[in-house]
Amino acid sequence: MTEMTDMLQAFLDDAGIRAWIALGLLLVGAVLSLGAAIGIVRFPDPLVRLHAMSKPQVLGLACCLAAVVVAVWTWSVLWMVIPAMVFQLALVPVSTHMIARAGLRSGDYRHEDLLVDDTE
Amino acid sequence: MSAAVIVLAVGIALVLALLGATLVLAVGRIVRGPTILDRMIGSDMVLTTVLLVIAAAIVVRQDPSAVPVLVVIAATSVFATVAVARAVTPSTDPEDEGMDATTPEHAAEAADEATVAGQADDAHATDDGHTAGGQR
Repeated sequence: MTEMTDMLQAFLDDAGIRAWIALGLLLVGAVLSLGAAIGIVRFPDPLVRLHAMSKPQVLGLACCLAAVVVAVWTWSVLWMVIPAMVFQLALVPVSTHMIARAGLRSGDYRHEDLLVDDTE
Repeated sequence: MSAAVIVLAVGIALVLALLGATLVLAVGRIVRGPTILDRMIGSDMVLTTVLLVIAAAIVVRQDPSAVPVLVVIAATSVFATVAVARAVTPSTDPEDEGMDATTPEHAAEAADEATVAGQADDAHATDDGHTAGGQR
């Protein structure tokens, strides 16, 4: 317990106001992530779940990586975090596209709820 | 131990509780399915939540030595999803007999269709043989 409070005290002493900004960004990221989790549990088919998963997750990761940069506050960590964000932004659409394509081709979606089906 | 430290500790505990709830819900989706695509969505989500937990640890410890782990996980998390999605996508080539079933019910239907199609093919082939023989 003392190590924990010592660590938090050191964090506050080192970072000052940046500690609170980082905490706020972490909270936003965690709330967005929980929203995505509730979405994939409650929504009814894979295509809708993909939509619920990908967008809040990417924004939540962006907030948490911003929190890392704000908390550590050096140039080197910024140049390490930017590739992580670029990889996520580039690759999450790829994986969600592949899942949606597999779901459409194997019929795992509620056809009757589509207003317009452009794949027919 | 000042009040600021207590508030900070409560905030960090809240972040970890939210991320833990996210992990539990994502694992619940992996367990419940019902299709393999839902399970891949859940596992993708578990991986991203692990990224967030590592980021929270970096923030609290102010130790950026774990940032390369974030980069590598962010770059490679897509491979599993793409591989599974490729494996379960039905081929447009009817000669292919790949694994294209996403649920056990699909597998049973596909097996039925395959046997029916196989019998039809056999009948067709013998027909062809007869007509070919007759023409000769």
